Amino acid sequence: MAIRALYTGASGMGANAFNLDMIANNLANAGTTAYKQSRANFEDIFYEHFKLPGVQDNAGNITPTGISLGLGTRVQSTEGDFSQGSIIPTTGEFDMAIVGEGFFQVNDGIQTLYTRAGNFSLNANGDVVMASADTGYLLEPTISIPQDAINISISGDGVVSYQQQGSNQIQTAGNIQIARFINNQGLLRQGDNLYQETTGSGSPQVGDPGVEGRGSLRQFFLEQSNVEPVRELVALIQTQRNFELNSQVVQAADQALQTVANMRRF
Amino acid sequence: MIYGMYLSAQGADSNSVRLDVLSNNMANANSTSFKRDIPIFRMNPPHDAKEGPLNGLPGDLENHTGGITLEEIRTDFENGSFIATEGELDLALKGPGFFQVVRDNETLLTRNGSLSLNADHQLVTADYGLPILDERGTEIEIPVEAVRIEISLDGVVTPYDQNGQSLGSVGQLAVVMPTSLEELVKLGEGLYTTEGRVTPLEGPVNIQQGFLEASGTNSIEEMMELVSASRLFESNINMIKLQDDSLGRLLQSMPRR
Repeated sequence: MAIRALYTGASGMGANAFNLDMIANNLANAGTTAYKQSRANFEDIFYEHFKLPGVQDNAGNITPTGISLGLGTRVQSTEGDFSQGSIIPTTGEFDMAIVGEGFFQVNDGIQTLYTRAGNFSLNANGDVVMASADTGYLLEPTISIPQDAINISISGDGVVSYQQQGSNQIQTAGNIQIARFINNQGLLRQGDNLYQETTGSGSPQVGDPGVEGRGSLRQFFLEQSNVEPVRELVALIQTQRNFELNSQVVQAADQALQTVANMRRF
Repeated sequence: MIYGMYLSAQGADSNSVRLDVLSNNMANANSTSFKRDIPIFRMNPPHDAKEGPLNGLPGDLENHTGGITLEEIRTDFENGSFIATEGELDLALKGPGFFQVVRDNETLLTRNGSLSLNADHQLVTADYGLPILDERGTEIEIPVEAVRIEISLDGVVTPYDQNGQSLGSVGQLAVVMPTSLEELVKLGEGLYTTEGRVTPLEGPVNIQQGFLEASGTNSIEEMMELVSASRLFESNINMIKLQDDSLGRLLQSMPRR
C-alpha cells in the first residue's frame, strides 16, 4: 500500500538532507588548513521478496523473475578524500606542509592524535605546539627551542636545527616524526583538524618523513584544503533537486492515502 | 457490479505497487550503481459469466479472474553514467559484469566499486568491509609499503612504493556474469545473489579507476510514472465509489415491506 511509498520517499528526503549537510561542511571548510573533503555514498536498503525467481505461480507458470520491492535508501559510508591539497608559501618558521602521505603526531595529554595541519607555533616553554590556542597540543616527540635561537630550519626529513645568538654552531633540537596509516578512511575525525586512530585505520607506522612511503616536510609552506567549490556546487544543485523529487513522492503517497480515506461517504 | 468492485480494487492495488516501486527508484537517485526497478503487470484471464471462473471459486484478489495482477518486478540493468571521484579505490564497471564480494561465507555480486583497505591490508568494500575477490576466488592483499594502487582496465591490481617502483601484481579482480540477469535477487546494499551459475565475463573487461557508477534512476521517467500511478489509483478508487453508489441506489429503490 502507499504507506510503503510514504516511508521510502521519506528515506530519500533524509538521505538528500544528509548529503546537504556534508556539502555544507565541505564548503564551510574550503579555507581550513589541510582540510580533507568528504563525500557521502548511498545505497538501497532492503528488499521485500514477495516472489523469488524460479517459483511456480498459481497459473502453473514458472516465474523467470521474482517480485522484490525496495524500501528506500540510506547513507552507506562517508568517504574522506585524502588527496593532496595545494601547497602555498607562508612566512611562519613553524609552518610545515607534508608533501605525500602521513600525519603529524600531537599529544593532548591523554593520547596521540594525528593532523596534517602544519601551522605550529611555540608555547611559553619553547615547545612546538599546535597553533590552536585553546588546545596547545604538543608535537610528538616534543621539540623544544631555546629562547635565543635564530635561523630555525626544518629539513625535508624532519630534522629541526637552529643557531644560538652570537654563535655559528648549528644545533639540533630534534627530529619530527610522522605517522602513516594503511587506511586513512578508517581514521576518526575529531574536529580541530585532528584525526584519531581506530582499529579500522590500522596502527600508525611512525618514522622519519620521506622514507617508507611517508611524505617529506616543507618548511614555510602550508597545505590548503582540497575542497573543489565547483564540484560541491554541482552536487548541491543535484541534491536539492533530488530532495524535491522525493518530497513529490511523499505527497503522491499522501494523496493516495487521502483518496482511500475519502472512499466512503457518511 | 460486486465483481466490478473487485476489479477496480485490483486496479487500485496494482497502482499502489507502482507507487511503491518508483518511490524506491526515486529514493535511490543518489545510490552508487543502483539499478531501477520496473513493475510489470499481467491481465488475468477474463471471468466467464456462463462457465464460471476458470478454476473453482476465486480465493483472494490475486486469484480473482479478470482484472490485473503484478507479474514481476524487473530490474533495468542498463549502465549508469560515471561520476569522477578521483579516489584511487573507486571503480566503475563499464559495460556488463559484476564484482564478487563475500558476506558470511556467501559469495555475492555487486557493481558498486567503492572500495577501501581494512586493517589487514585487504581490499574490501567501503561500507561493510566485505572482501572483494580476485579471479581465483581469494581475497586481495596490498603490501604495507604501497603508497599508490593502480588498477588496469582488465582489473589487475598493482601497488607501487614511494619511489614509484611497482611491487608486482597482487591479483586480478573477478568480473563475472550470471547465466541470466533476471535470476538476480536484490539484497539491498547494492548486493545481488543468484541461484544460477556465475561465469567469468566473456569479452573485454573495462574497469575505470577513479570513477563510480551513478544511480540508474531516471528522474523524468519516474516523475511521469508518479503522476500516472497516482491518477490511475484515484480513478480506480472513484470507480469503486461509483459502483458503491449504484449498489446503494439499487438497494434504496427496492420495494420495502
